[in-house]
Amino acid sequence: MKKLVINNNVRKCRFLKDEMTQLELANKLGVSRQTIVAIEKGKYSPSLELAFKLSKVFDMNIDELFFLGDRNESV
Amino acid sequence: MTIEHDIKSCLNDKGEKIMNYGEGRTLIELISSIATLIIYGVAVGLGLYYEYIVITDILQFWAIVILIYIPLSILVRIAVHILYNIGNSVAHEIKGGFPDNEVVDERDKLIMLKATRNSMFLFVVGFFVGLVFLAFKFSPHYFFGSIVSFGILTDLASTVLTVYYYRKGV
Repeated sequence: MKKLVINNNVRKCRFLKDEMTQLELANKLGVSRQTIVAIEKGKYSPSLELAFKLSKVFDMNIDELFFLGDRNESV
Repeated sequence: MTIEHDIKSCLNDKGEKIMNYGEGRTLIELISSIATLIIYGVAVGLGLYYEYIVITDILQFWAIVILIYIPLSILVRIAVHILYNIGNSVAHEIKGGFPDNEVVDERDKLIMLKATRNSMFLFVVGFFVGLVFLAFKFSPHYFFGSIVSFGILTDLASTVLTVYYYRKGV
């Protein structure tokens, strides 16, 4: 079965949110900065819980933050 | 703190990519466990036990060796973890800048889980090799020797896989 590619707008949202740094976002979510780096690079798909926390920080829906395949960034 | 910091904190003074906290911790664990095993192996080899314990057969010998090694390796690992964290904090203090938040999160746990699960296959192979030795009436030393050897290989494979998953992603 082909693996789904999940992309995200986390990096873009971070910039739009007063140029929040990876470390600041990591501290808000209670994860390491390396995890934020991995999520932004698409090397790690976060758990549903972490995805909800991210959407809460950026005040948007999960499907605005994460999307399937090569869809153009929507934010 | 700026975005520039995000990029710079992944690189050393020469601009080369350095390992992160998780990778460093894993490598330190491997080095400490190998060092412990070598020192302990030399102590066993020199027969330092014989002054304190009367060993009558091979199974008793291996039982004592393994029973002492397990808590010893746990204690060494805890001590190394503490020293590594202290060293890491001191290094950040000396270098200046902003230390990373060194927490073990869901990604670290997933990486550890996958690395351990995959490397455990090696240990299973070692156990089977040991059973083959027993089946062909080799000395129990061969059985335990193969288990210990494949245990080291499992530890090594687990470290390599952990670093691999950190770099490649999970």
